[in-house]
Amino acid sequence: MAAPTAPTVEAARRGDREAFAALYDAYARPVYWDLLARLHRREDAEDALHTAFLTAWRRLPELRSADRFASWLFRIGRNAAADLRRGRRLAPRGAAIDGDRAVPDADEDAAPPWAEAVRGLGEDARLVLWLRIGLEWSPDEIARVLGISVATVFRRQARGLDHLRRREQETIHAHAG
Amino acid sequence: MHTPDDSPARLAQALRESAPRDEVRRTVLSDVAELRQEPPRGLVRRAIDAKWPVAALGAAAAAVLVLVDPPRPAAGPERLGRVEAHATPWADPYAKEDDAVTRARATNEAAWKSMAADVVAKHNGSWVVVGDGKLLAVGARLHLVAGTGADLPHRFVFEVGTEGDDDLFVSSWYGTRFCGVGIHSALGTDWQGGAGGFRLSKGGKTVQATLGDAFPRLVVRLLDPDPRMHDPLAAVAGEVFFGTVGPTLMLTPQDHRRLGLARFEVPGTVKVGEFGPARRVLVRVSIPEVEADATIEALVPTMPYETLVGFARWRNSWWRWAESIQPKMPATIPALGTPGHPAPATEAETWILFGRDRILASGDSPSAALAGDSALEDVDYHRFLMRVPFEKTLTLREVDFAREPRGVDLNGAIHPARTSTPTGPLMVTPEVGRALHLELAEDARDLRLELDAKAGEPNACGLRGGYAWMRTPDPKDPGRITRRLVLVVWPDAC
Repeated sequence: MAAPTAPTVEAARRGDREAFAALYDAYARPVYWDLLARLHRREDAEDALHTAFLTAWRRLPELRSADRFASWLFRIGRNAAADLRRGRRLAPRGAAIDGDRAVPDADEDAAPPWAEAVRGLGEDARLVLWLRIGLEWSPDEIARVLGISVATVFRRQARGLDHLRRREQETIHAHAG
Repeated sequence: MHTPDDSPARLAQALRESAPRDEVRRTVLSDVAELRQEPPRGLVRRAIDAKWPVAALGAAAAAVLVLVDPPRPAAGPERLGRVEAHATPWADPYAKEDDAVTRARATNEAAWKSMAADVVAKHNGSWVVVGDGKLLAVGARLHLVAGTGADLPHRFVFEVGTEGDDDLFVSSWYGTRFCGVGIHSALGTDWQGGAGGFRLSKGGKTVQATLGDAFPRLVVRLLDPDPRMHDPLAAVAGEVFFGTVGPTLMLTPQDHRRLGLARFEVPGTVKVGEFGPARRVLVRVSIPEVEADATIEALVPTMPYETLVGFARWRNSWWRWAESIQPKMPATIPALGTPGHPAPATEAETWILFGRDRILASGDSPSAALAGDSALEDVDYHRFLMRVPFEKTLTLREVDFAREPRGVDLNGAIHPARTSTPTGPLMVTPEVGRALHLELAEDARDLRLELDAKAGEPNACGLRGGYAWMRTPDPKDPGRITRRLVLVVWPDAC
């Protein structure tokens, strides 16, 4: 799916629910990846995703420029993750709270390994990785939706990939050692 | 052990495998349907939220000075049912094609005729673009040439050797959009028919088509074949009847306009059975549930729009003979009370909207039945709006209508109409009937008009009619406008 254009955002801002559905389809996965990297549990990431998109829908009329939608949405996602952490004392990773009893996480709820690998990577580089590697959007499209230059896209992508390679080498050495 | 260079590919693969469940999408969009957007907050609220007291004070002072009409929450649009459309994003289907497209097509047809022999000899099997009366591009793959001349009003874009005229057998105009088994070769899908629908599968994924019982349909996404032009808002989510006989895909004239497919035509005309001619075009088709996605050749009918309305009207009349063939085809014709048969869901629902081989909506009034179809934003050529149990005939008298027409607000515009009682019916010309899109809510009864005739002259004639929204001042409160659904008729066989 290609990056949504400003008219799609404008239409959603005017209350067009079909356009908002198109925005959901375009951005749900990268926002979810971002949330998964923050919350480390799929169910929490889905809860925050739901909250983030409802917040975005309600507050879209406040968005001053359609060109800022992507950054704005990811910021809402970050806030939703922070609210979730604040509002609910998250169980330590590897365990879920079931009433008063701690039970092992179901395997399907655990975050995949890449969510751990991107830990420590700056938000801006992470965002470019989601859009460039995850969605295969072109550097031009990413530059447009994030309001940055194409050169910056390349720089952030390179920084992100360097980070992943470093983490991979660390893992290999840790296992070898 | 992986080499570091694998990182992007492996991350891409890992991300592809991590997606929120479909249930989250359904919940979000269902909540959004119920949730109203907040109006933009004013300066004072913004400043307070920003914890910026000085600005808040300043903004408050400014607000006191300019507070003449405080912002009010916008009311959501009233659901009226799709009789007032074709609003955006669909163009008026009766409107003539843009002159620039027609002229450019004529130029390109003439150019192709003169260059065809040479191009076929040199580039057979290659993809070419003919635009602006010239051969603009030649390439081994569609995506290599698709962007050339993309801003022209018309182009031929095709694989040399596939162009030309053709004949296609179809026994019926099966639906607004329809396809034969050829689509499965194009998309790489497997089709499996059965009771209550059919299944499409590909790569271990399956989607069940359940729209309609006897003649099930599936919604597919139709997109611009040029990947650089993708815009989710421009994609058409279109209902398609999947059959065995038919073209790879029959589109609608509205699809052609909305997706700008004049930029992706293929030289040649296809004669579709005894129904009429169709244009050859390229379109990208996607069925996300089975991850099927391909650019395929499709057809677009070029007969007058009234003809297409007539095909759909004939098809929508099947309920008149369904009873008689039901005993012979129990497996395919649904029983009374099931979807697809003109029986309402409950006794209270005495009106149904019927089209595309099924009940689209029902309600306790014509407006309720009509509003029930608002969610279906797809193209329709024709629908019946009718009361059940079905009343066969309605006879009107010419003497009950005013002799001279007057301007009446119908479907949001003033049209000349002969009035009768304040609640209708109204009589208009066929041209006004088309402008009102009465074919989208046609009265299914046999309508007759008793003429105010002299001795020896015909004393009755046939009518056609449908429902439109009439706006009038409220007699009790003239400052208030009221709206009601009225029957609008026009002479058909007089």
